Amino acid sequence: MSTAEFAAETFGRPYLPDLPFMSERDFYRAVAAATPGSSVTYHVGMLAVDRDLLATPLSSEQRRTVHEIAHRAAQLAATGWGFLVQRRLGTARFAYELVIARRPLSKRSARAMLTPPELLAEAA
Amino acid sequence: MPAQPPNRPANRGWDPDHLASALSIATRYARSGARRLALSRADQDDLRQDLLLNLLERQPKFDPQRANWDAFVTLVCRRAVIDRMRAAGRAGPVREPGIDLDLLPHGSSLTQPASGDLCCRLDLARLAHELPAAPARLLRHLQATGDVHSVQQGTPQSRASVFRRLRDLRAWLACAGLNPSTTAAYERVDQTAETDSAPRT
Repeated sequence: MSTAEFAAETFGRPYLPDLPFMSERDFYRAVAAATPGSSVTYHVGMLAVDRDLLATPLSSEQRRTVHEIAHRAAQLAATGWGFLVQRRLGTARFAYELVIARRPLSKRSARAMLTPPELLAEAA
Repeated sequence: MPAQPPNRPANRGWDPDHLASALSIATRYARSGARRLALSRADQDDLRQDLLLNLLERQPKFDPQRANWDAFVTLVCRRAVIDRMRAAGRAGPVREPGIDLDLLPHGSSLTQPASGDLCCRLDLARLAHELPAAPARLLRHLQATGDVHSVQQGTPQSRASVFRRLRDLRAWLACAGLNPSTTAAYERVDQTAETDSAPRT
């Protein structure tokens, strides 16, 4: 049984994701503009189904975009830039969010400022 | 007075086998030439078109008594690629634009555009500590060399791999709010150069 068939059987109706999707560039802009504590919703639907090569109801281009954004969000979370959460909105419908983390500004500054002393001397 | 015949080679038409072999050989030599000349994909397609045009012009000189068609096409394509490489080598010095030094901010450099901006250098240095190892290494490499081509030359990885990593780094920079772009000073210089070179009425 494929994932799509499983979803259809479990939820009683065929799965359809929310359209339109966020583009990669929009996601990057949203992450860059977000303040710590705010969240960026990068997908609404069922991400596992939408990313799957066989089960997805999306076109290949849409699936690639969803996959790239989800992969980037996971990388951002793994690097400490945010936390991945998902909210249940209804049957077979979830909002996937990246909550922007407060980056360790003081530690970051201390580390960064130690590296280029010549730059700081030049700035001073 | 009889009409003068056009000074064009007669279009004798190519049979499908000749056409297929010509396309194949021209594609192969265009790919080889593009690798040697470091051309983009679009320029490679242009080079292929040039080779085929060259072949079309020289096709009336083909003599089946002297060699077969494939040898003729190979010879023409090879000579065309060599001519193109020699022309690229004779390109001469880079044109120097007219620059008004008063337009440049204090401390900026014409030869180091990316590192000339002190704030940008500080931002990138801070960001390098927050990136994963691979993009951070590439960012530092780019800052040290200041040139994508030098990075590509200095790494044993393939060009496709380098540009894949570069695309990943661009995504990280975009997430950090640092979009690669030229500084305002250089845009002003470019605009000034264009204005100076524009024909005056």
